Amino acid sequence: MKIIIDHLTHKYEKGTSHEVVAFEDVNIVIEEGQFVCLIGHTGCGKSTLIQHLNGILKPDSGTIYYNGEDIFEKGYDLRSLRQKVGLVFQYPEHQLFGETCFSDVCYGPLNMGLSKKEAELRSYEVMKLVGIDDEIFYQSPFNLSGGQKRKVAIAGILAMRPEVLILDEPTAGLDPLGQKEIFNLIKKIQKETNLTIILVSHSMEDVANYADKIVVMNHGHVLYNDEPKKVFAHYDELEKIGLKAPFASYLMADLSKKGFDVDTNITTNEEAVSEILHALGR
Amino acid sequence: MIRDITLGQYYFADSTIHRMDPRTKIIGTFVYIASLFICKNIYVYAIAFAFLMLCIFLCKVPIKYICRGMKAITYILIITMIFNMFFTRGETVLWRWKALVITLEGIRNAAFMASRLIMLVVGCSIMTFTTMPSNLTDGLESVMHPLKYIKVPVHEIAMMMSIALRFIPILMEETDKIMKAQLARGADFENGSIVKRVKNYIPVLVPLFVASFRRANELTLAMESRCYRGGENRTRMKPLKYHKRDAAAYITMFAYLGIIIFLAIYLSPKDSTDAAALAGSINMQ
Repeated sequence: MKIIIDHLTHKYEKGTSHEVVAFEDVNIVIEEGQFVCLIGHTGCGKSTLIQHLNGILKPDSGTIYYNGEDIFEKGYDLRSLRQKVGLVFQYPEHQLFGETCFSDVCYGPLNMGLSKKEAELRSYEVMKLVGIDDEIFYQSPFNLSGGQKRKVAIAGILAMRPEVLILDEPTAGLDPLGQKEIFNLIKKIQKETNLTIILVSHSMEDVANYADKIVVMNHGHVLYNDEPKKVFAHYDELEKIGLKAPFASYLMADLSKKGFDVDTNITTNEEAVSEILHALGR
Repeated sequence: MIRDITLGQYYFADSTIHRMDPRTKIIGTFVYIASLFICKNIYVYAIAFAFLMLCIFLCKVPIKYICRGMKAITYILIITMIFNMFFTRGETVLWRWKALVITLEGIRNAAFMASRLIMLVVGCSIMTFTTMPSNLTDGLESVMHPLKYIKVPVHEIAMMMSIALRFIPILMEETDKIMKAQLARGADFENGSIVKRVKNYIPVLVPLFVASFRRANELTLAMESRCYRGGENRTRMKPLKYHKRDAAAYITMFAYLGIIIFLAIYLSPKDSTDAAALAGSINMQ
């Protein structure tokens, strides 16, 4: 399993007076088991880009290879691709429709043609994995809190047992506690299932702790495509395009300016604490 | 997916027709529709067509864009033409196969009907291409104002229309997003029997309805908290105002209507023979 995005370009309203380039000439390689974060400001084309990965949108030029096969080739089985590349959209309200949470989660597996029993088994398994309590199983998904709805939506995708999980801003509109919960959940999913995860976000702070690789997009172009420490070293440029490096990066840079002997490549708070203690000689 | 429908949408441009008062455009559209139903003669049709081309030229909407809007009425057009072709009785039989007969009159009728339908739709769409929905409902409210005296709730109707129009693009966008979300879960909207396909749309309709009710609820709250209470004594931020170009437009359109009516009367002997042919065909049945 490997995803290669090859010179991909997408334009909206092509051929009319209001043609807009969503993104242009994007090249990204995603290895199996990687945790990739896609970061960029609102409207930089990141949501449009991920909708190509499971073939919902078609590019204007370029292509994507999944397992070495061109997914936009005629006759490629897009429905089975969508099962392998699970995409969780930003708002769970757009996908929840079942009478109960449980039946909603079963929708995906049933679409794959599984038996009812198998679908229910899988659904039960993933609902336990994402941490949905038994008493919520038979409640209407419309009565849940924002965080719970999101968990059910994620479960709905996981129940199809995808190889790749794509999450589009999974924490948008949640309170800090809910955000933390969702991030812990994503971490847990990666640990227990070893999925390749692609996370779309506009907050550096969130992703610094988890990502193997960060892709920064700006105005439809890939600006950086590297491991977190190297990307955050460009915090000046990131600020210019309206993004922020994690707090720890700023702290370390300021400390080193003040003459402390600290490693400026640090990105997470935990590392920062031990580095400061080390610098103070404790 | 559904973004391709251009019929009835606003097209952003800066032209004389765009800048006209919405009332002028509404009345102009009605005059044009009326003129199309007066026409029964090819010369009169030519004038109506020329008038339409003038409007298209003035409104700066590309013809390609207008034609794309016609896609939406293709089926109605085809059905109308087929019906007119086979069910018009006439004397000059061109082709006959068992009960199916095509006559010269039938073909002529079909062509007339099709061109009338196309001109009708293009004429109306020029109004929607050049007028923002909010202006359109303002104009409608003002045009329908006299109806208030016979207790028609004009303001409320206009308000409902503007809300409905305002929500069409939002709901389209939402439908698009929901469909994508369900496609990602393996939904299939293309294959299977009709019954199955309708069933497959349930996962789209439920979230769509839930979202619509939520939006409606939020909108009522927002309106109530601003003390909305209907049209009584309500003033406008941007009152509608006539300009010189509107006067010119009124003169042009009534001159046009005059010519059409004059020609329709002047050329009426032709009509009476048509009527005789029609009467003959009824007798034949």
